[in-house]
Amino acid sequence: MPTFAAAEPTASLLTQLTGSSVIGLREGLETGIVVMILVAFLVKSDRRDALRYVWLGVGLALVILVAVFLGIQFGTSTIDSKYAELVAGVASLVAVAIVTYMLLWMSKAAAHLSGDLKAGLSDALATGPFAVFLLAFLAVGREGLETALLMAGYAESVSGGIVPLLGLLVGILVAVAITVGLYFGAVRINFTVFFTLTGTFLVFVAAGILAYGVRAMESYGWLDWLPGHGELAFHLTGYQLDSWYGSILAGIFNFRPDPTWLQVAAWLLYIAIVLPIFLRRQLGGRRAPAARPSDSPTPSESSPSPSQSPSPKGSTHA
Amino acid sequence: MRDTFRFPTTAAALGAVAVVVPLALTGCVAKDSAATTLAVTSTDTECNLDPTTAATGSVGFKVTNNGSKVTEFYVFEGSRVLGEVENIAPGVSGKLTVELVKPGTYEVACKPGMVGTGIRQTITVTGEEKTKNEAPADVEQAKKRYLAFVRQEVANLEAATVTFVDAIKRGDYDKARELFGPTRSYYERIEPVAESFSDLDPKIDMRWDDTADGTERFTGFHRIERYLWPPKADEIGDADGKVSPADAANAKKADTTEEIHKAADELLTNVRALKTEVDKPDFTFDTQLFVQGPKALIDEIAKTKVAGEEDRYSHTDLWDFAANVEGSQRLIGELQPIIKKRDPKLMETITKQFDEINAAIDKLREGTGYVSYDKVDEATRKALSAKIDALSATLSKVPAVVMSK
Repeated sequence: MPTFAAAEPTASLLTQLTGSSVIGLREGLETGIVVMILVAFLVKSDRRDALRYVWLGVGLALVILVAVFLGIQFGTSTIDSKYAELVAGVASLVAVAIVTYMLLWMSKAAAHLSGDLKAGLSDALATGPFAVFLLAFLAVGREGLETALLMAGYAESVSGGIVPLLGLLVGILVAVAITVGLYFGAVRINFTVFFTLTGTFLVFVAAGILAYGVRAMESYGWLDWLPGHGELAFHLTGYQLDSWYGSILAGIFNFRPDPTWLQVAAWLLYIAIVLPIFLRRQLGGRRAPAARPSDSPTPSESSPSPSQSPSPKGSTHA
Repeated sequence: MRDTFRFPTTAAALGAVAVVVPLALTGCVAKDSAATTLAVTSTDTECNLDPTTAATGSVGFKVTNNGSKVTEFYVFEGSRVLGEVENIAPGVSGKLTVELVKPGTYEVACKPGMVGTGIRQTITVTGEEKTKNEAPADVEQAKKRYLAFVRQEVANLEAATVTFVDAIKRGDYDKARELFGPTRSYYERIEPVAESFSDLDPKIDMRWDDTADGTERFTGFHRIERYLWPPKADEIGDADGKVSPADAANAKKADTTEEIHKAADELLTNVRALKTEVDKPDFTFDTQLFVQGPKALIDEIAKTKVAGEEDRYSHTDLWDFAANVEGSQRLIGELQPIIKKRDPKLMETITKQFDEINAAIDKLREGTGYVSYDKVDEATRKALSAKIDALSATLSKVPAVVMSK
């Protein structure tokens, strides 16, 4: 199909569709990934009863999001976009703090109770239903004000008719499909491997959210006192942020081809500190059971290890 | 263990709401406060603005993405970002309002593809340097209290209109004539606010003069008034306060019982629409309207009521007259502590002049109401008019005094 982008007075319907769908994809992944991991953790550690805190957090965030959107759409006021970015930045930092706390706390508990990681995880989770709720709430709601502004933009748009909105929905559906696919992929693998892999994955997701938060605060002017604020560390020319791969990487890892020095520093520091702590505890915690011949990485989760109770899910520590 | 799991969730949910709602409110800005809106067209290679100049104050941007990439739009002051709209998909437009308080040039950028420094343009802002448009906190507080009064007044207006319309539909015209003045009082007390509804106000309070000699539909209180007090031969003429010949001719032809019942139903519908509007939680009015309200109400009298043209058929002008004064005094009541604090002498003068006007109006009371305005002689009208003008001059100082910090 020939492109008339420069000559056309308005964007073609196809570009309208794809353009909006990449936004939907990115926003959908940004929202869904952390919730997905949280749900996978709870399911894998037999804490389905704690799922309601996840849904409570998600539900509350959605209610607030819709309320703000309706307020903008039908009220006389809107939200200052810079302010929305500041809120997103602060909420991102809080979300990172909770993720880090939960990750390290769980791996610590698991390391202490070496041999029974699942039980350790259960105990660790029991201390933090509030953390579970708040993380779910922030994962969905951290960009809530920005998303409400985005939705208002779509609701008011007349130039492209319904096509951009359709595109947005298509993108969100693809994001949901990817998230659900990752979920089923993740819950199928062996528990110990799952915890190590997902935990490592989560460290990178959290580092991306941290970098996102840093950029938001930079553009609000809260980090003006730091050297190198607002200056780009590098710029990958040719990398398309609004392409499919760009949206997926931005949605999951908050990756962008033109980070500032502060973003890069925050990202690197976070990985350099959190990842070794997490991995050392993980590998340390596994050393004891690894000595046993039965605990090779290959057998599926359902094959009971000697230390685990064979009783059905949920009844172990109730 | 289960117990530790259960207890904090409700508190946590409430806590989250308690944090998020004020957060959202803090970021509230008026939606269409911008005096000028610049149209921005972003394509993959261009960033076009029309116009490229604006006056200091709130400046709006409507960014339309005609390119094939997702775009963003930024407004800079030096290197600082003053405002931004992100995620504008192809074919979609985004809106932004930025306070550009200092005259000078500002840089803006479209960022097709959302990366890089973008396509830069400059805009020129001219005019006086403005402080951000904020009223002192005590004025905003007073305005909130007044808003409650406005809502109460409109609720009373609705109740009174129901009774008034009912009397008409029952054919009890004596009762309707008796209710006409008091019912209108509720409207007249809050006239500046009511008039801010540019669609409802004419429907409720239009005069014959607003119908372009009958080509527009004559509705509202005065239409019913004309039916209740059909123009007499000696009232017809072209002077102020007289019924014009065209008006009288139209009355003869158009004022049927059927038409008046219809007008009465419409009046109630419109009053109810007004109530719905002011009862909306986010209903507000301009702070300027609030601080200029006392004078605006008094000027209503000087402009239309002293000559007796407002209620030309019924001559119930003194009801409106008194209601305008009461409405103005009510507003001053809300602002009194603020005026007293910033200019005690001004407050004394205002109080004295209101007392004089009220004394003059009291002399014209008759029974539970007021004498018919056509019975008020020219000398009395002149004396009233002079007092009104003096008060208006005093009240013109109020906005500057209360808005100063």
